[in-house]
Amino acid sequence: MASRRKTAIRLPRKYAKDEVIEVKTRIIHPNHNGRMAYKDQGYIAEYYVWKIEIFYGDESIITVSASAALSQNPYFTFMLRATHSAPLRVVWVDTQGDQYTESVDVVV
Amino acid sequence: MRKTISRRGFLKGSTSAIVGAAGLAAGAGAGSQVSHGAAPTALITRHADIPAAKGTRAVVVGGGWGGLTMAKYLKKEAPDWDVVLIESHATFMSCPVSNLWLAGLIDLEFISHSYLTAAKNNNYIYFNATVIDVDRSERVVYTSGGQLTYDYLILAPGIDYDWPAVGMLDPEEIHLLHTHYPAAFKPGSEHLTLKRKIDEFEKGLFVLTVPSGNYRCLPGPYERACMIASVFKRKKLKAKVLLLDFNPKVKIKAEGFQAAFQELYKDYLEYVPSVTVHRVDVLNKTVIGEFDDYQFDDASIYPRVRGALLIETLGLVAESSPQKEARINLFRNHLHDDLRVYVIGDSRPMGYSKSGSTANDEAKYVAKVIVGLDKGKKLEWKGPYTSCYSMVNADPPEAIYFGSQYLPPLIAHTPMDMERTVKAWIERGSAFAWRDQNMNRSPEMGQAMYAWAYGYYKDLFG
Ligand SMILES: Cc1cc2nc3c(=O)[nH]c(=O)nc-3n(C[C@H](O)[C@H](O)[C@H](O)COP(=O)(O)OP(=O)(O)OC[C@H]3O[C@@H](n4cnc5c(N)ncnc54)[C@H](O)[C@@H]3O)c2cc1C
Repeated sequence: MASRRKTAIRLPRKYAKDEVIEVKTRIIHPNHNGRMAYKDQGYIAEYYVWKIEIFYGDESIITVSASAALSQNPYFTFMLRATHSAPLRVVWVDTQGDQYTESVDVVV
Repeated sequence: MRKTISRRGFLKGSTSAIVGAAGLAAGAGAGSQVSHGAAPTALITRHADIPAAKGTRAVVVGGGWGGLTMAKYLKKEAPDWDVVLIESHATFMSCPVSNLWLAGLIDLEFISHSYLTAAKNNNYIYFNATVIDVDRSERVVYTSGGQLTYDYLILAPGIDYDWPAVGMLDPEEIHLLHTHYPAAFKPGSEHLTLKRKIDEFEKGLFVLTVPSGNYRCLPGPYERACMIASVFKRKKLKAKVLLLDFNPKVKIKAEGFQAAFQELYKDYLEYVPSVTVHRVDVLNKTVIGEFDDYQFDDASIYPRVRGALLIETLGLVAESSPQKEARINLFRNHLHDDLRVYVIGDSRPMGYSKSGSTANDEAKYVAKVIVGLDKGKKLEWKGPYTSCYSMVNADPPEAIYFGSQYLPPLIAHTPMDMERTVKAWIERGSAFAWRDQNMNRSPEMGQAMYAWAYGYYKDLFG
């Protein structure tokens, strides 16, 4: 059953050692590109996820440098060869410097 | 123009034979190639049981918000015209404010109305039948109750559901989904099924979905979520509405809806943004999302919407329209090559909100356009006006509001359209000429919503 947390990582239900699996990640996060203004409030400050970093064990395996063009609630998926048992950790960083971390264990 | 289908030839042939129109010899020739002995000739060639045309005849197809307004206002603009409204339903049921009925705030009578009364009060003919084809060259409409001719034809057939867009391709599964978990965004049995579901729900998760695209009634699913949650709250059930939204955030009146979600329904409603539905597994009661799967105890699945099937049947779909809407002039609603045929309401391709009040105001303008063109007058373009209340609380009834008037449509088919559109948009810095809103729910706004509905029903039927 789905968890409705702000951040989430999904692995396939079953996989074998050395299999290439699809990993899905998602964060609920606004996207303001900094160029939108409201009549009475002026410009809305830039606010979006600018970096997504993925660690497999201690090793950083993917770094995404995003821009305001990244969507709101970005959904990011990639393929991973499940070579060993280790935590898979995703770190999202936004333009205000906040970090969000989520992790699941890859078990083979 | 659609030419390929021999059935058209058949229609022409059989009509000419029965009607005996001498000029149709060529059509009869084409028709003779068809040898479907069992084709429903009797039905098609029969003349509809309606009084003979007494003047210029306008035939309006679809007695929804657009069509009812059109029939009435054509008669107002041109009292000497003969207006026929063709509708497949025998009674009118209103989609607007039907969510209030789901929560028990109003009864079914409030949203049910009589086509006979509308026709009597406004002096037009109501013909209870389903349109199956149109021959534009001869200006004949074929219906389940026989054929009739027109001088002007206005199509207002509303929407149909786009099942493939939510991954439903197998007719067997579509049928299951539609009967078990109907969207209730087309009035009738779907609503009655949904009402019963809500009344009988005891505990667990009740899933609602918000589709992608320009779907019918943008605030509808959010309002409905509030109304169903209000029932669970009143009955103190261990039950929750799970609202799965394709959009990254509440698409319209966000502030007002979010306040209601948090302040009124914290334990009864959960909102999940950015859910792309890949498929619905009906037997396992599961919405298969792009990211997650959602199991439910009961549900109402709102697929994407598309222009009504009739538009496609008649070969009028705009190639550029992802929602299979009609190919029409965006300022005057007529077919590009036929000033006698118009499309209004939710089947239009313009990006206006697919709402009853938009269809109502648009119909009044297009009625003027049609009568004006007939008398050789050209009318200044006017953007439709929309006004929209959403009930967010049931105890007491409290509503929020958004109203606006549209600038010229965004999609432009000619460089001139484009130039006008862009100019207007730049001048105003928005798609609207003006807008007005009230996101603070209150009992006064709740009362205003009842008055809104009452006023519109009076306009459509009075
Ligand atoms: C739950 C819900 C809540 C809503 N709330 C609001 C609201 O608060 N305010 C608002 O402004 N709008 C609201 N709407 C939207 C509004 O109902 C629609 O936008 C409006 O009905 C569109 O009008 P229409 O004339 O295009 O289509 P419809 O009203 O759907 O009418 C189309 C008609 O054509 C008929 N038809 C189709 N094909 C044929 C055929 N071949 N032959 C004969 N007849 C045919 C159909 O039977 C139907 O009666 C709501 C909708 C829903 C579902």
